[in-house]
Amino acid sequence: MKNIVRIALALALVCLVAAVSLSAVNYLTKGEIEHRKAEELAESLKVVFPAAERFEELPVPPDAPKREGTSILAVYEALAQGQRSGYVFRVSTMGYGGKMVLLVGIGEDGTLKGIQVLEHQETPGLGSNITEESFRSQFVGKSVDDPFEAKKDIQAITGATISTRAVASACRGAIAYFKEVAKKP
Amino acid sequence: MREFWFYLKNGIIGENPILRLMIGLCSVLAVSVRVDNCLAMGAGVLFVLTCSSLVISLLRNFVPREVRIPIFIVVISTFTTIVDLVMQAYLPSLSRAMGVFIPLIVVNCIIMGRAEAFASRKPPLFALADALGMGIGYTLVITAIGVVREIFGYGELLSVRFLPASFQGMMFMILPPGAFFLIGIYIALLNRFVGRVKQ
Repeated sequence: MKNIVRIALALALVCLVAAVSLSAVNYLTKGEIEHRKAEELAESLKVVFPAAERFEELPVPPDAPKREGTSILAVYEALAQGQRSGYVFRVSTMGYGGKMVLLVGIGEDGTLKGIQVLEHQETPGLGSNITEESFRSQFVGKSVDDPFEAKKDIQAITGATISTRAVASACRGAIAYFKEVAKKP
Repeated sequence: MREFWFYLKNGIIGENPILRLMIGLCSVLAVSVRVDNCLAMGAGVLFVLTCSSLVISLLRNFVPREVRIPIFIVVISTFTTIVDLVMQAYLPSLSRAMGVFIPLIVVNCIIMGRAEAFASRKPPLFALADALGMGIGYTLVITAIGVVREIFGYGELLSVRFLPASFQGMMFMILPPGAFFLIGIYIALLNRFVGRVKQ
């Protein structure tokens, strides 16, 4: 019986020290991590919609359409000279390695302004190439009426067809939302 | 002190974790496509391994045998989480490239294996020597694999063009089998020039 208490105390003590040191590190890095994330978001918004000067977050209605496992996490209105010139959608979808979060910028005229990958868990060296400029640039200037299918109008990354499809489906999800909801006055 | 150097060298050559013990291969296959990933992974493993070996060795007389594995895991995952958070805060681009493989250092069998087989039985100084040796040995081999894979897979070295632009890149080197292939070649070279593992 005494032995059990000693074992439990030893384990509890180690866990306590671990918890305290982790809280300390979390406390020290939390601000920096959040700051980086906010900075990254601002930069990414600029990349997917270079023409805009300012972005304003819009509320996403809870009944926002979901298509092929994609969901809209946030919508930003892109403003240029005080006028709305398009939207940026924050879309989540399933990739090969898990959840993927992208930004898709669509102009009022119905053309894609750019895409950016915010989070992904794709295989390093293969699927992770979806973040490369050379892959993302093919989406710029595409129309919302294009099919967005890998190996048809989207050049797939060699060895990473599923990752490519995931990006294409995120675009389709954003476009569906753009057509159905965002176009309403 | 002689023993310190012996254990240090042992980790790098005599019992190199990848080429001799053949443990922790999963992260090697997954991460070694680019040299900068290799260096970051090596640094992460070296840090977690050194800190957890030292702590586990210091605690070795305090830890009851029955709960040693849970305690090792708590110690190792604490240091891994520290690496993960610090990388997210100060090296965001690397943190993104490494993705899930930094949290997975927790279950890297090099660290668990050395904690169980070495650090929990030896005084802190030797545990430190062993951890440094193993960590350096891991980093050297994963980087040696990364250099070849990046050059032949992408035609680049540290993301700078290395081979002429007409070089197409070998798919085989980008995929995990490329790492297996290189591990085999390195083991053969080690056997030929340094000597075989004594049975």
